[in-house]
Amino acid sequence: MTTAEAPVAARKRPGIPAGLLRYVLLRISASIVVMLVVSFVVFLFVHAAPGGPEYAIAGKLATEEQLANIRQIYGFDRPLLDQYWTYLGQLLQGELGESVIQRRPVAALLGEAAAVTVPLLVFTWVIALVAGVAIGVVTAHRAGSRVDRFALGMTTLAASTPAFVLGTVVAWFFGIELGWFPALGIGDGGLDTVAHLVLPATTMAIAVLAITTRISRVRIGQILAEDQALFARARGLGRWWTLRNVVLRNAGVQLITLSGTIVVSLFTGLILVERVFNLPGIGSLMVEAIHDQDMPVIQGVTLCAASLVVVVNLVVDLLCMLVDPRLRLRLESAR
Amino acid sequence: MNPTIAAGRQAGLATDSLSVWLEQGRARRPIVESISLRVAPGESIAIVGESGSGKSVTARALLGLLPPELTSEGDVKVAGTSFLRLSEAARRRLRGNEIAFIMQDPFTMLNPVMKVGDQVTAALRGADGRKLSRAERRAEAVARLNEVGITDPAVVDKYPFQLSGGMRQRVGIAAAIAENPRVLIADEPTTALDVTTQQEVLKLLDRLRRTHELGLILITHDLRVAFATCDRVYVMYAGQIVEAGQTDAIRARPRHPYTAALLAAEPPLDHRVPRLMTIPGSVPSPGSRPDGCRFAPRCPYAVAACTSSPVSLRTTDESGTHRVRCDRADEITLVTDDMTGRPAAGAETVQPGDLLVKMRGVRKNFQDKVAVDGVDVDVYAGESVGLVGESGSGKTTLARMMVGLTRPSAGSVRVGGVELAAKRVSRQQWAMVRGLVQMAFQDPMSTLNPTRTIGSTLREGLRLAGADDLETATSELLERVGLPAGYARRWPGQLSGGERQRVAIARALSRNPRIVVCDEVVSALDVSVQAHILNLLRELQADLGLTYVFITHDLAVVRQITDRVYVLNHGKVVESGPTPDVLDRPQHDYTKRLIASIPRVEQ
Repeated sequence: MTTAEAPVAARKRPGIPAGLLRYVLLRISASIVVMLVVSFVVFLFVHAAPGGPEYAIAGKLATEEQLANIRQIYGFDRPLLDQYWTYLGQLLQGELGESVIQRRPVAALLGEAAAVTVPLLVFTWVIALVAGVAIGVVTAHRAGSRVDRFALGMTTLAASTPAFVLGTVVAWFFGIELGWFPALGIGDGGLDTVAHLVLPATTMAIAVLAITTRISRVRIGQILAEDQALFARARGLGRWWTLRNVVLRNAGVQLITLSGTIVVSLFTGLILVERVFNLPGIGSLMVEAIHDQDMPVIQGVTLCAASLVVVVNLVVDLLCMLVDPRLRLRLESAR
Repeated sequence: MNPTIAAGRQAGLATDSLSVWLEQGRARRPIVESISLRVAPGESIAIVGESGSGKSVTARALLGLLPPELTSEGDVKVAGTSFLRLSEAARRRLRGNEIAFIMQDPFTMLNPVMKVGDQVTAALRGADGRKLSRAERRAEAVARLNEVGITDPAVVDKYPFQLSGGMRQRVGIAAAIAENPRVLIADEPTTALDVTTQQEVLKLLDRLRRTHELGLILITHDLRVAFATCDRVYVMYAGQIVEAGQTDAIRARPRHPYTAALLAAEPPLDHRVPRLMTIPGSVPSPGSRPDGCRFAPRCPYAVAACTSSPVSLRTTDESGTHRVRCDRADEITLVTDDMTGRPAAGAETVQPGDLLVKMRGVRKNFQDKVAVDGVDVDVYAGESVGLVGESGSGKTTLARMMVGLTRPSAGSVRVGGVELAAKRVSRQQWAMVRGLVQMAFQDPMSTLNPTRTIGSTLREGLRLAGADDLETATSELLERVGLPAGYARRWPGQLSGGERQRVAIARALSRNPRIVVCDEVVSALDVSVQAHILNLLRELQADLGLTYVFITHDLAVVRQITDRVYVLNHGKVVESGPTPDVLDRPQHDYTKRLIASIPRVEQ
């Protein structure tokens, strides 16, 4: 085993151990490859459109002359790979094309939508995770108690309610009946925007709370039942110390993986919630673009979503390496 | 430190009628009843008992760390304070500071994602109650590890999974006693460790007891360990203390039939006995403990009066230190193993039959690690061969290669004429080998399918062996291993550890093999259960003419059950020969060290 000779990883402080470095580089290059594949598929969208790429851009009512013109401008008569290279070059410069309907750059449209969606996403993510882990900690400490059963029942109930039903109920009750928070729109920026985000974020957070609560409850319960938790208590170490150093550190890998999964699933859920609360976010943008067959926008949103998934997965994997020394050490010995 | 506590500081720890109850709705069942014990600073006591005796629950009750479904009554005095009557915050201040705890499994006790140094110094504060600086903590960690015999300062920056079991247990001890407590409760601290490591850890505890004036409470199932380490011994049975006294007194003359039976069930290291003493029945569970004497149903000396009323713990000698919970203690003379007559020191000579297993130059690598390194082993029909070694010696890998569960990296493994190391072994050849060799494992709970009845598990093997009447064959098989035929309808979860091991043996026998490979089949069992299983294995061998390959780390078991033995260390056979020769006149240093490490009860 590794006990006899001191592991290299522990000895030399500066510098990253070879196995870890290899893993990080490999993981990053894999992400780049995935993004290239996605970009190629997205590029093909245009060619898969009914009637060919020129129809996708000009619309159904275009004359033969216009179509020929478009073919020339966009270079649809060139070889496919050739076209892809051009497309990729533009992508790398942040050039995502222009919306057919709105006649504005896709990048600008995405930027405006992201200004709504990203705060909403982050807001929701934080609520779902913090509340989920907090309820998980409380219920795991009192497994089988009334609090535990109540939390389990409520989160299950909330999770089995469809988001649009929940959203409507929340918007009606807190937004209209009680009038605590605005139920529609995005506000005029600053605090007003935050106020406008409370209800949609809460709606989405409730939907995923069941998952975060359940998973953290189970994992934290396991850790609390382990010898190491009893040993910590037997040494007179306090509840907070145990929570921080035993529970959260040991649950780290699971919680990080969980939060990655949530970001991705939240992104999907956004479409519905944005519609219910009438927010001009990425979800709304996508729905409208599909409705209008606005191909450059569809491409832009798809690329955005794909890069989010890829980046989140990359960050999750790297963070797991950071919090669990066992994973790191396995890299060094597995070569 | 809290000044009020320091002022009223008294010796060690004492309990007064400590009881633990299991709360189930309205009903409450006693788990542990009226335990009164004490330990002075610098003194060591042992709480000895089998599983189900309540010894581990007692340990947790002493610390006020019972699981929520258990409640305690009575008092525990720590440093002169009624510990259990304090608030949880006050108790927390005393834990680690006055009373410390280490657990059985060094692999699960430490936090796997925290560096060793941080774990050792977690509870430490400066003189002014401030947190220590990083440099201070490091210096402190190095010093504390040094105390427990870890001199390499680099260990501070390692994670527990980078250390061996013995090292981890040392780290655990260092963390437990970091605040210089007065009492250390050690719950089976050496059970998960190898013999040689076990002895080192016991020596360390003994040294710390002297240098730190620690009151040591050692909780163990092993009377040998208790006698070798402790000044006084408390023997527990079914939630009660049945005998308490000075180690010498109990060792020389146990007064309770249970203590005597436990001692007798312990297989002797220095000679082979024709039959190990056993205790009939099993430890009653908390709900079904009998009235009157708890041990009466299993006691050969019991009379009608024993079952009528509860028996109290009474002083039996003039000095008042030896107490026994037996009304007949003065009338009866207990039979211990010495009186069963000592047979010839050697095993009966076995006429060697055909060569069934022939292993030559066998190697097994797991990636860059060599598990088995060029080993030759022969197994002849009708004999019992021991493979002895500590964890990591390669004994289990060797056994698995013999059964064909692991493919050797190099060398030859011939079982009944079939070369298992060959590139291709035909289906018929495998069927032949499986019918010839079967294996029984250490932990029957994980090898018996919990969703199948015992009968269905056994019928599987019987069908493969071509039995005609499966029902009858199953009943016969169960009776053969000493279980009622009705057990065929039971589930693995309903059986006790010993019963499950019998089923595991029955399953191995279901294919009617000539060789049974037993991988540590008795090491997870209590002594009295172990004696039953060892006797059973011997009977089976005599009746069925079986051949055994017996893998174990326990030399006393080797003495009782094997004719020849191979001693393994780091994947190599360091010594082999007839069991009596190897154990009585070991040639290799490693064998000598193994034998010397066994906790001894000097008579």
